[in-house]
Amino acid sequence: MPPAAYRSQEWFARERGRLFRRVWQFAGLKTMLGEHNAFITREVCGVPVVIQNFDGELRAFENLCLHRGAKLQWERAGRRPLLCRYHGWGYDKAGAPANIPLHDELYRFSTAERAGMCLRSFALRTVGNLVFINMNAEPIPFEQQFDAGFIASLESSSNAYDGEVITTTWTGRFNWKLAYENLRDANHPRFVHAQTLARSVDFICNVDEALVIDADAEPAPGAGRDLLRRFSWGGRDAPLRGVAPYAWRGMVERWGSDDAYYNWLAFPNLHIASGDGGHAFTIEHHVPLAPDRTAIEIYWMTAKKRRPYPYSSTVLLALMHGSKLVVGEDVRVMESVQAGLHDDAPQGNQGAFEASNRLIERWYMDLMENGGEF
Amino acid sequence: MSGELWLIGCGDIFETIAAAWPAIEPDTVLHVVRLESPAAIATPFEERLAAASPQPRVFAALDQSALNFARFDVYARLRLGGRRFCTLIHPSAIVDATAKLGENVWIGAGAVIEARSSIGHNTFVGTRALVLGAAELAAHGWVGAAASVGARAKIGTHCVIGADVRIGAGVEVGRFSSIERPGHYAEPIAERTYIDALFELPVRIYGSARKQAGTAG
Ligand code: FES
Ligand SMILES: [Fe+2]
Repeated sequence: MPPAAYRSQEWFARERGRLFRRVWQFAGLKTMLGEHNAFITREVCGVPVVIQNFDGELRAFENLCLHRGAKLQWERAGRRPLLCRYHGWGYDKAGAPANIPLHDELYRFSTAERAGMCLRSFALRTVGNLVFINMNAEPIPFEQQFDAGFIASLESSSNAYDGEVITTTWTGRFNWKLAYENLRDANHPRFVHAQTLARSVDFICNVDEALVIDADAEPAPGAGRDLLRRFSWGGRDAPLRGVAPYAWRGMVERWGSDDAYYNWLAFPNLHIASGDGGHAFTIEHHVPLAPDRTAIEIYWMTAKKRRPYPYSSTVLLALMHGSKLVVGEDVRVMESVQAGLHDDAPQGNQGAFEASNRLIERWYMDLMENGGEF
Repeated sequence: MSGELWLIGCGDIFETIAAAWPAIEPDTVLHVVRLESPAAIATPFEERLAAASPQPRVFAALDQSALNFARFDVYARLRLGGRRFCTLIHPSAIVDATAKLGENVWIGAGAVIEARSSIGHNTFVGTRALVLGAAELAAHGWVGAAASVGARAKIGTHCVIGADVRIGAGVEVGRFSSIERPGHYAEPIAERTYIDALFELPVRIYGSARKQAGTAG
């Protein structure tokens, strides 16, 4: 791709409008939203968003009060009614300010004015324990973005997630696209993760002949819509050289029984993996902040506990430290690629094994230059 | 105190205690059971104390790792085995007579433990650390070298207060938290929060450890 795709502010804004505001994006975990009034907040395409549980129903709203714009929920996650801290406006599950304290004395909105007040809402879809949202007023069907088998695999595996979740965010100085390219490149672990991940997993990197043909072929008109589904896949990825018999692994309801490295890649910016055959799962969400800055949101949870055990939080902490090591290796490489880019930097030369990235690139460039096909 | 003491464990505090003996308790004979690594606790070590009879005192010394669960494990197993523990204080530490110290507590060289403070079982206070007046440290904790815990501060169980961390007066730190980035902390810290130089933002754990995914209400 041209260097501008990774560096230009104008490109970044266009990409936000043409891609991110139209696709379904990962927004959080249902396990963190299990109770009435539980909420999570985040920023999506520069918009503050709150996802809140109203008696079991999840709703996604713009997290800004209709009175004078205060954020409704302040914390990253918690449990509290959807109620503004500034002057106490309270919102219902339709996003209407159902309770405006001292309305008649101080505000005196007409019935019509009040009826017109409603928080902006966003389409929301859950797949197992994964919550996705779409910022578009008329979202594309979820099934246009992901194929049925992939959705089923996400659903089954994420239903195995335990409710105790460790999470943090760090910032990488690279464009988010370097992350999706890196994740679809099975040839890097043997070099980048030689001392870490590649010691326990035999990553398989081969050439998908059908994909090579498609990536090189002249695209048929109208084929773009169907292409999108091919950018996401998941399931069993590579064999493990054994799974260390830590006691906690015996205390969780393992997903599946394969000693495998599981990997799910959901275009554009979500990666889920289980590096220990379904005993624990990690989610990496690469959130674009600026052309050269990406938030890396990391979550870890084990599979559901059979019963609580006292040191479960330290298991999660150890898993998070593992991520820092492995993801840190990726971040260093991606940051070095980003740092080297300049307006006249040479474009890459991708090989046969990188056909899926080339296919995505073709679709993406069409989207960015010609408006594309959705 | 006189008699015998069996020191079991490994790591920096373990070696510090072994090296400083007999200055810590001049009349006590020290026996040392050195584990190869914290991972060695996975295999039974109890029989290595078999010669320790009748009913000598023991002390479990392992540095902080995984929120002190390795030390907790050794401590708990020895306790279940009916062993008697002691509290060890480096001769250069200053411990106020009104401070309450639990068993298997270590107070390092030059540490100051002020009046009316309390330190729960199996908590280690490092070299030159300060525990100020009426501060409360719960069990299975760790206070690193030169760290300080302000007056009336409350630290939950299994917490790690890292080296050079200063917890302000009256601040509460929830259990299972680890504050390892040096600096002053004046705001309360929720349980299961990890503040670590490795991570830009605090690492948080959400969701009850007791509840399963998907349960509502
Ligand atoms: S800004 Fe929300 S109630 Fe005033
Ligand atoms: Fe990688």
